[in-house]
Amino acid sequence: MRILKMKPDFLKEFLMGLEGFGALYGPKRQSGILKYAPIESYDELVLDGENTLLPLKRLFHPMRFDMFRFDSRGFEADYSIFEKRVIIGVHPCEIHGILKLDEVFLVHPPDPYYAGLRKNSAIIGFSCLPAENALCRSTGTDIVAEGFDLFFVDLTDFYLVWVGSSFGYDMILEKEDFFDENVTHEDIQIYIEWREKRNRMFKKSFNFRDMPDIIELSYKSEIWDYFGKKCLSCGQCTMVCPTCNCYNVTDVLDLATETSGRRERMWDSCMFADYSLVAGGHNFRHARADRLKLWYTHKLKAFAHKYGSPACVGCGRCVETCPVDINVLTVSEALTSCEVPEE
Amino acid sequence: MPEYKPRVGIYGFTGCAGDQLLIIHTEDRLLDFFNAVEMRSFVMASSNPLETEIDIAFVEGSISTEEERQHIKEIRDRAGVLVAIGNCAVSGGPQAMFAKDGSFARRLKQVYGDIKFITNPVEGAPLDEVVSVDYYLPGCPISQSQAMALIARLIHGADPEEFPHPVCHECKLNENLCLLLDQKFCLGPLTLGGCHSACPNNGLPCVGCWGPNPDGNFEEQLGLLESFGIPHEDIIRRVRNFGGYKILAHIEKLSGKR
Amino acid sequence: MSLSEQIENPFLPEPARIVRQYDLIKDHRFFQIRFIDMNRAMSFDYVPGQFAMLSIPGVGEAPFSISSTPSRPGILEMGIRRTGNLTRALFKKKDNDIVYLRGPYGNGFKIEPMVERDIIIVAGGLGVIPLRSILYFVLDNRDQFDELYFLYGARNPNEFLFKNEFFQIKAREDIDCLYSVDKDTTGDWTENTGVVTSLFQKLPKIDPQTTTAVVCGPPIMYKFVIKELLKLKIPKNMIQMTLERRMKCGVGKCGHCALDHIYTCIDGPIFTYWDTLHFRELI
Ligand SMILES: Cc1cc2nc3c(=O)[nH]c(=O)nc-3n(C[C@H](O)[C@H](O)[C@H](O)COP(=O)(O)OP(=O)(O)OC[C@H]3O[C@@H](n4cnc5c(N)ncnc54)[C@H](O)[C@@H]3O)c2cc1C
Ligand code: SF4
Ligand code: SF4
Ligand code: SF4
Ligand code: SF4
Ligand code: FES
Repeated sequence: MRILKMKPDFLKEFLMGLEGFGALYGPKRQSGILKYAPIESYDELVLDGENTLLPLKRLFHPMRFDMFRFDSRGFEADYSIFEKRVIIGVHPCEIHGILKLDEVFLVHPPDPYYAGLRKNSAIIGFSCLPAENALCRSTGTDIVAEGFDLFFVDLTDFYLVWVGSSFGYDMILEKEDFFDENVTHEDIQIYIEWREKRNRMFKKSFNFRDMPDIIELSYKSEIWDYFGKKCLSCGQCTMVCPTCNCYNVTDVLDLATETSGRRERMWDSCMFADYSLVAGGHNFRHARADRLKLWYTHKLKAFAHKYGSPACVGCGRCVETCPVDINVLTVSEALTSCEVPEE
Repeated sequence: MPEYKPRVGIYGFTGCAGDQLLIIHTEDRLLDFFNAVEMRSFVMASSNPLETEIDIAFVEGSISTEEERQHIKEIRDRAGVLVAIGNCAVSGGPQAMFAKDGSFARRLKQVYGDIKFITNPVEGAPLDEVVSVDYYLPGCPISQSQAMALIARLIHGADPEEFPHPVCHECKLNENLCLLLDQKFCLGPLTLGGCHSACPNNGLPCVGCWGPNPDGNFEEQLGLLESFGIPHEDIIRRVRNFGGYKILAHIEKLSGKR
Repeated sequence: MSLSEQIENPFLPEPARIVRQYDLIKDHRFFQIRFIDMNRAMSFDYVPGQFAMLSIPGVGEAPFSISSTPSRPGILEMGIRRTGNLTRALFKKKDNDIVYLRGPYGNGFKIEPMVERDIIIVAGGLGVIPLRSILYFVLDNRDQFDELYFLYGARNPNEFLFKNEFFQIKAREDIDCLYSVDKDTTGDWTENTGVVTSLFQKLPKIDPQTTTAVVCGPPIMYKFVIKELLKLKIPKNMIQMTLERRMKCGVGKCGHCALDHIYTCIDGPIFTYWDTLHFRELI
């Protein structure tokens, strides 16, 4: 991997110049809410530590889209969501989140929609300083080594730019004279100091490493009932979590003809009651406590396939989102201390 | 093969008639709709309804008079499938916010003490208090896309799909910040989705017009809203406002607890 | 080449024809289905215990076990119970109507550990639908396997599926068929009465070291059948069972079939009893 230096003055021109590689996307404030959205001007970009409301997954695993059109001749795939994009301002935990989703959507057989969006998108990562609820240091996702085309670390007087792919290198070549190959010892020292400063800034942490065992041991714990009683089953935690992949599929008929319509895919949540309902109304996971248990097993014990690693990337969104304070912090703490949180 | 067109009737009872208007005003799809069906009776659109056997009856409004009771029974007899449209037909609407008060008032008083309700109740009942209802299109007013999806399935002989999720589901897909975090009086988690989270999209709390979400955690949400300083009786009143008859089971759950 | 031709889409349902269908019992119908594309019809290769996703455009899609055996390629057979939207619409279809299929999915039964061993097949109610596939597979490759015992229990004679077929098989010398109904409601039932576990008493002496078992039935049945099999000392990893979960995609993407930390659509639907002891919530 190559590491280059860039002066902050060039940032705007460089980023806006990437338009030739695809439509620019990035965190942008709309009606007060930070969202990944198309970027029209540099000033719209929000490049600090703040989390977007919905994670990066929304650009690769869209909330709601048509998989197929069908008519009397059968099904035809609808790939109209594909678009060449350059996504700017992606934090390390977000990149880790996407790498986790890759483990689901790109393993055989790959999901063609996710794969297509992934293939058509460049990721320009940006360093961040930990936000109030950042937990990525606990989950080991505070830095990234892969999953980006370029990654910018903001060291105030200059940027260090990691080049993560040949596509990223092509972008650099566009504006070659903005970049300096000569990274000095002093620069490295500044970077190390920045890392240390950043490490010290984390305000919250939790015992992520021991959670797989603790979850396993707590299978019958009444702590689950405590959280189950509180949970509103609103599903917000699953929507905002970067590594939740569940979706549902529904057919929508056209009004005009009997045989034509579309097959729609939409995010779903294991927090909803009908999620694991099977024939005859038998529900394997009706109690709210059981739904939460499944979720936290995925986040903190193992994810999606046998012996996989836990899915939590420490973004802190569940901490910010749950109206009744059920999140990786409160749950891991309660399970570890065997005590329910104080009201 | 000459295409069979389902015979459709649209009827309105006590209510605001807004839902039927909505169907008429869906102009881009209106032609498709009229082409796909044989309109037998459209109380608002045609002044001369044909009262014959029909495949699908869309019925709006709640049942408030004996005459209406007879009329809905008669429609039920003639209709293959009966769809209740709008909050009034589904839950009784605001007219039913004191639903079943005769026996209920006493219990309510026991449970909640003396609460003054604002409006004077007109006894209105949802359709399924009188006849059996096959499908529901809740809302005040109903959602165009939900209505069209249901109608398309019905007229093409497929069974409609439910959306048994809270308003919060769509609210999050629409990237709204949760109003509960600002201690606002939102009933989203207790309310059935399908409206595309119309109110939170505009920064307004959900007041529950789609009717209760059967999976709602009423106990906990009540406690949460009270912790915001919202008086107990205000919460009950709002929950009942659109919950009508459908909320009673859940209210009783609450009273059982306290 | 257009995008849709270039991209392989595992969710794309392919047209298939209902070549024949008839009622098994009330609300349960048997379907023979053949892909319209002749090459696809012949090349669709599967293992007993796998399932396919069946679509009716405008109504939806759902998983169904393949009840036919891969040893008789060309036509796929399914036994389907009418329970909801999709199955109601399916029951309205006539011979020669088109439905859409994709698959095969799931792990299927592990055949290898059964080869040159004795096999006990235990089916309860609807569970006989997927087991019919392995039953015929074994019969079609009879010399590969040793003794074959087929235990099938239904609630009453009117709910006994594939009656004609199964009574025909019973006449064969190379299979031991034991059938029962919980209750004889018709008065002309000639086989055993009692729950399916009561059939275990009728088995000859079993050598647990050379026996494998496959089981499918309603959730409550497993507990009792497993108990009987353990009494016979059949090793836990030699008991295969099929489990149902809600499934939307069949290929490990939608998350609906998640259970503990596995996806039953790819890691299952067949599990050994040993697996179930290691994963929470499996039964
Ligand atoms: C691996 C596997 C193999 C199966 N094999 C068969 C089979 O051989 N024959 C057969 O009749 N059925 C089989 N099923 C069950 C079958 O998939 C469901 O009965 C079917 O989805 C019902 O669809 P529906 O639209 O008619 O019902 P719905 O209207 O969707 O629902 C009717 C009832 O079925 C439940 N249900 C919905 N979707 C599923 C689902 N994907 N899986 C289980 N239950 C569901 C609902 O919760 C409800 O209780 C199998 C399921 C699985 C997972
Ligand atoms: S844990 Fe919190 S965010 Fe998640 S469903 Fe329950 S109440 Fe909603
Ligand atoms: S579990 Fe919470 S902190 Fe972890 S990735 Fe999901 S939303 Fe972020
Ligand atoms: S604002 Fe209301 S509807 Fe939206 S997520 Fe919060 S509680 Fe649910
Ligand atoms: S948000 Fe609530 S009140 Fe508003 S339209 Fe939807 S269900 Fe009705
Ligand atoms: S059915 Fe979609 S993940 Fe298993």
